[in-house]
Amino acid sequence: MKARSTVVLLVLAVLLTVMLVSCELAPVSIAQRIQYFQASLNGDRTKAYKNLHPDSSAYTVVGATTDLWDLKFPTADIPYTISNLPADPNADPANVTAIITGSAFNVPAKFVVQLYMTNDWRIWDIQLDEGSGYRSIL
Amino acid sequence: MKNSLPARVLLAAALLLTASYAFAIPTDVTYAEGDASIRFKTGKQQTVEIGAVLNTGDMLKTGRDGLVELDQKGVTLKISPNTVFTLMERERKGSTTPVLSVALGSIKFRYDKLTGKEPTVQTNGCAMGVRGTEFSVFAGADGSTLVLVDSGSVEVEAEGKTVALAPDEGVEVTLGLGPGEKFAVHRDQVDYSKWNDEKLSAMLADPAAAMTGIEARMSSYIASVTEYDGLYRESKQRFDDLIQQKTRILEEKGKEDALKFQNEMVSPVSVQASHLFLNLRYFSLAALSLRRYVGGRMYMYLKSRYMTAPDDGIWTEFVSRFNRVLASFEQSIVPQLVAEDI
Repeated sequence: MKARSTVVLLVLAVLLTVMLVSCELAPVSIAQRIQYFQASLNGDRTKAYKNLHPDSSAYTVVGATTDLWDLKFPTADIPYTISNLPADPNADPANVTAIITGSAFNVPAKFVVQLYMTNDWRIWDIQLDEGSGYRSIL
Repeated sequence: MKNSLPARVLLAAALLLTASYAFAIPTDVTYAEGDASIRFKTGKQQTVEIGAVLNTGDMLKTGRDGLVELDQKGVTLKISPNTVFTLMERERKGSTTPVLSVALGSIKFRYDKLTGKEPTVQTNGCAMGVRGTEFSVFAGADGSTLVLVDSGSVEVEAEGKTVALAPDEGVEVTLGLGPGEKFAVHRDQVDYSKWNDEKLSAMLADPAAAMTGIEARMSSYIASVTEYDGLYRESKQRFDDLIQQKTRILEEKGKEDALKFQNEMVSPVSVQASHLFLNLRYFSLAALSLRRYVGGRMYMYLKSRYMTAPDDGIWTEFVSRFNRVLASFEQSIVPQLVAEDI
């Protein structure tokens, strides 16, 4: 009986450890994060800020509002595609270049990404070149 | 709004300098004791532990016996009991400035060395430009602020008035009135608890007068929110009209012409409107802080004091003013907030 309890406790401990570690180890690469951001632009924009780094003030200031996204990425141009990422975005996370295209939208962009926790890349800044050089939109 | 378009464009450019937001400087907890907790901007809350890291948007609260020491790359912050402190950041004059925001309580700041990029320190009543290496900020229960300089100098700005403090000088800022006359400080002879007790006593003796300061500051936030809301709505309407035109161009003339229209006509308006929107958000969140940490706490103090005398004239006068502030807050600020802000 005692041995059985010990086994049950051990299994529970292992399950708990796996749960905790899996929370920590749900990795999001730079390319995946940008893909998630693209999905937010094309879907529920109130969740778009969750792609931002929680330590950036834009995370708080923009929050669940959609105005900024609607102004910078007009809903009329949905669906958006973020393409032309560098072959290895990790080579320079502070300068991840891309092209953002929509039905009538074609703007070169730069993403500044930073690690959140140990393996979750989040967007720190987004810069668009709308004809007068790259400017932060956040 | 009566501003001409160029004026509005200039205003938008000015807003870019004053109200865009940038990046965090991580702040480490190097010492903690007693009741102290961190509310991360993600909403998660935890007890303060040595080694924890705070970033922009995170809020630290100490209870009656809480003491916390933070290190922010050369700045040491000693957080006293009963303090509410938030790390913020703004972009000013084209460069990023951290903002150390003291909503309530007392913090001592000590700089190991000055780099010229010292954070702005702000309370609900004033903002401080730091040139000093050691100074203390006390944010009182009635929204008053007391700034005392040990070494270096500190510029205190409120209600358009600036006072420069040298070593061993201090100034008190009454909410809504700006900085008073500076005075000589006898080192280590200022007791924050005593000062705050005096503020509380004064507030309790004349709550309606204390509420006047809050009303004035809230009115100033509401005026800013109303102004930027008007400007933003105008700009957003123009943006929406342009988007409709772009959609027609896309249908009638094709993608090439629509892209040209986007770059030449839509983008400049979207830049202007997004700056106005960020400014609107800044003032709305500042008003929320005033209502929550100064007005709300003042209400709780007085409610417990007058619980057995709800018809007392002092209480009813205070409640009447408080409700007025609340009504204007709810009318002008709440519509600008989203559930996650609250």
